[in-house]
Amino acid sequence: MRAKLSFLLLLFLFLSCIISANWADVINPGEKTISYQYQISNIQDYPNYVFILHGTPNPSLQVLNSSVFSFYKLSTCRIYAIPQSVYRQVQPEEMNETQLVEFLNNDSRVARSSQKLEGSYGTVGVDNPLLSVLVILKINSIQGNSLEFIKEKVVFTYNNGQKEEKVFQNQNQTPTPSSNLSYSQNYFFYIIIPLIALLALIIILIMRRRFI
Amino acid sequence: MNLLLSLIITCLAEFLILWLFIQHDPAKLLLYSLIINCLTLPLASYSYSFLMDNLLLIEIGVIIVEAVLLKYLLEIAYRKAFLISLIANGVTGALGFIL
Repeated sequence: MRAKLSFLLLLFLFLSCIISANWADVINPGEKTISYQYQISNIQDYPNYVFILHGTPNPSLQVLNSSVFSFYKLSTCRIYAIPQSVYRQVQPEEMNETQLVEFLNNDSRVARSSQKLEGSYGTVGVDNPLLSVLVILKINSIQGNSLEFIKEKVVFTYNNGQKEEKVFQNQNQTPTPSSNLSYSQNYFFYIIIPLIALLALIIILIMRRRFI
Repeated sequence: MNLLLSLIITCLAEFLILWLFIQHDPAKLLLYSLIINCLTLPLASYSYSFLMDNLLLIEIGVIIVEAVLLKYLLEIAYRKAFLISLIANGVTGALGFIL
């Protein structure tokens, strides 16, 4: 029976090693992807413009309003501002992808931003309480074919409903969430509790041997 | 908090199953259930969350480890220890799916 048990344990360890090694370079189990969400805080100050989101590989064309928007996690997007009159005249939604790209990038009536927006914030552990990352954008100016906006602040939402706001100090660097609640909780659960249990187990077995 | 709650529920469920099989000294059975699950549940959760998402393989590992621990703690035969471990983990696994 002991030999069989040893064989089963060895087999289990062997299979575990094979499976974890095979999956290591594909996807990390236990992680979740957090997508960026965006919102333009002062879009209502520019009623004469239609704001468009265009990205690669998508969306091809998404008209923006004051609501929160997001897009495919692997996409990179830019925002364009088109005067209402021009938008009605050229009807970009009727264009194919090539015509649309040509229009957005080269038409002198289109104001385009130099800032790229990313779809994915990144991956965190499944136990991380972070739920969503909302970036608040603010339009600074629309002059000629230049649309300038800044990333004003980021709002982190956690699974307990808590929200945390941080102001962008550097436009190229998203502030990091300060909550490390999950780490201390997990450390206690994954390390301290099993260690205490193991210690108790050893003490019981030693005491039993002494009293026999 | 969810992790600790699942640990408490698992300990209680496995204690009840232990009690069904070994009908004496419930305090000792509760202590053993607590020790065994405090050792295996965090390690199983860690394995599932960070190492591999093959729940069946992890459950098999837990059943084997718990059976060995039950054999030595309760001083029972391997066959009985495996049976208890299999049923206990089957029940707690099902509880996990339901809850």
